[in-house]
Amino acid sequence: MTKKIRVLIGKCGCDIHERGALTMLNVLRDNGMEVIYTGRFQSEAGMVNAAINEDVDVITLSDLTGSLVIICRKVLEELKKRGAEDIPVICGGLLTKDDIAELEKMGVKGCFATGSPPQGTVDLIRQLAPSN
Amino acid sequence: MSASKVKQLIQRLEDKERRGLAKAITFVENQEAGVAELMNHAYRNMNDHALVIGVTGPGGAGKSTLVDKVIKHCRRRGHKVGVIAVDPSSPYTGGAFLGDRIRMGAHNTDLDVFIRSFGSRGSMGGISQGTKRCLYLFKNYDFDLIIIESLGIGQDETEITNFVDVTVVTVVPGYGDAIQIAKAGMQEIADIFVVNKADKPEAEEFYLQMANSLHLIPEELRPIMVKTVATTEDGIPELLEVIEKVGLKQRSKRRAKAEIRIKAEIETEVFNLIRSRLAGLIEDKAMAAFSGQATPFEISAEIAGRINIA
Ligand SMILES: Nc1nc2c(ncn2[C@@H]2O[C@H](COP(=O)(O)OP(=O)(O)OP(=O)(O)O)[C@@H](O)[C@H]2O)c(=O)[nH]1
Ligand SMILES: [Mg+2]
Repeated sequence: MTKKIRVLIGKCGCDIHERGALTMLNVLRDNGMEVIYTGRFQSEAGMVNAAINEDVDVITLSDLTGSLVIICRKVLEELKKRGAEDIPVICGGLLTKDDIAELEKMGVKGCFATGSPPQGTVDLIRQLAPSN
Repeated sequence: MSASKVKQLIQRLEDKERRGLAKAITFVENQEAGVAELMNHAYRNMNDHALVIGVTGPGGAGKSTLVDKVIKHCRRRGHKVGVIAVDPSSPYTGGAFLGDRIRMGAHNTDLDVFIRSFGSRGSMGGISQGTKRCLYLFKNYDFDLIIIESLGIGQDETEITNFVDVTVVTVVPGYGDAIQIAKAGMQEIADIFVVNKADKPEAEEFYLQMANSLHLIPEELRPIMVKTVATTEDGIPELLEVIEKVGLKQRSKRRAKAEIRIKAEIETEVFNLIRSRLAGLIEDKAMAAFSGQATPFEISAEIAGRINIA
């Protein structure tokens, strides 16, 4: 048995900034994970469908427009609709303290504001990925 | 625990449930306990319905963009499409950046398009044993078209031709000249030769050069050439027409290809098994050679002599 952690990195909405997503892509790959990137400007429904087909262990949402609360809420709704609420969601980007509190309340498993060291995300993903 | 997991996955395949396919692929790729039972089921129950296309060629040639447009046109006809998209895994960390989906984002919300990204996971050529097995899982579903995108040229790619009905090799001007294409053995495996990025000024000359060198191949074996601009969809309808035509012809070769494929698959499986059984012994014996008690050749002969084939 050779389990590999698979992560989807997605960007929903009209955010043009890609640096954060691309940085995490490299960090996660260098930590031995298979990282699937959807590219920018995706819809939440599309993100969830991609996550299901790719059978990822974790969905990571990146956004720098201050919309993570809206995006994550829609993604969690879509996951529920598809019966896939077992896939954990984490996010990173532009976040206020209030955002983080709200995101944690709705069930987002980790929030990383800009400037967080990437190792924190790596460790959390390892922890969230089911071991079998 | 794992026995019931296999039963569950088999049930989900029988129900043609999409998330079941996604889970089964992971199960096969990770070689979880019970994978043999799952594969035996998948092999016995696969259907012959889908046309299987392999799209290969050098990095950045526009394969994913081309696949995206082929999907778009097939969806207009109501066809259901499955995609196996392979990108290279890092030989150092085993990690991979699977980015083919980026070009296919338009289909993310379409439930009749199933796109799955694969890392090459330590395989010598472009596509892993696990990925090849997953094609049988796809064939348990009702896709009209299954597309395999793999990076690469030559070597292992010759094997992939036996897994697909139609092999599309994508090349672009600037990659090299006809000599490079010939060295990589690309025209030997191609049923269709796509010259993509035809919008580039040097494309016309490149196309003519290619056409010239392909002329040396007897007509009945010669790949058909198509010029495309994947980004603007120029040439895509023509490509689909050619795929359909070649597909019809190639379907009749399915039995012959299956014979070659099955032999190769059994060979790989058996050698993998032997390799894993002998790994420890080789490790131990290597020490003897290292300390000068015997030569590596004597030890090889001794180990090989242990394999008794009646
Ligand atoms: N000018 C031009 N650019 C194209 C064309 N087709 C694709 N591209 C661009 O070429 C780049 C690579 O395209 P991909 O579709 O990712 O190529 P690929 O062969 O799948 O790449 P890998 O999977 O990384 O090997 C992208 O920036 C595309 O937009 C074309 O016909 N003309
Ligand atoms: Mg690609």
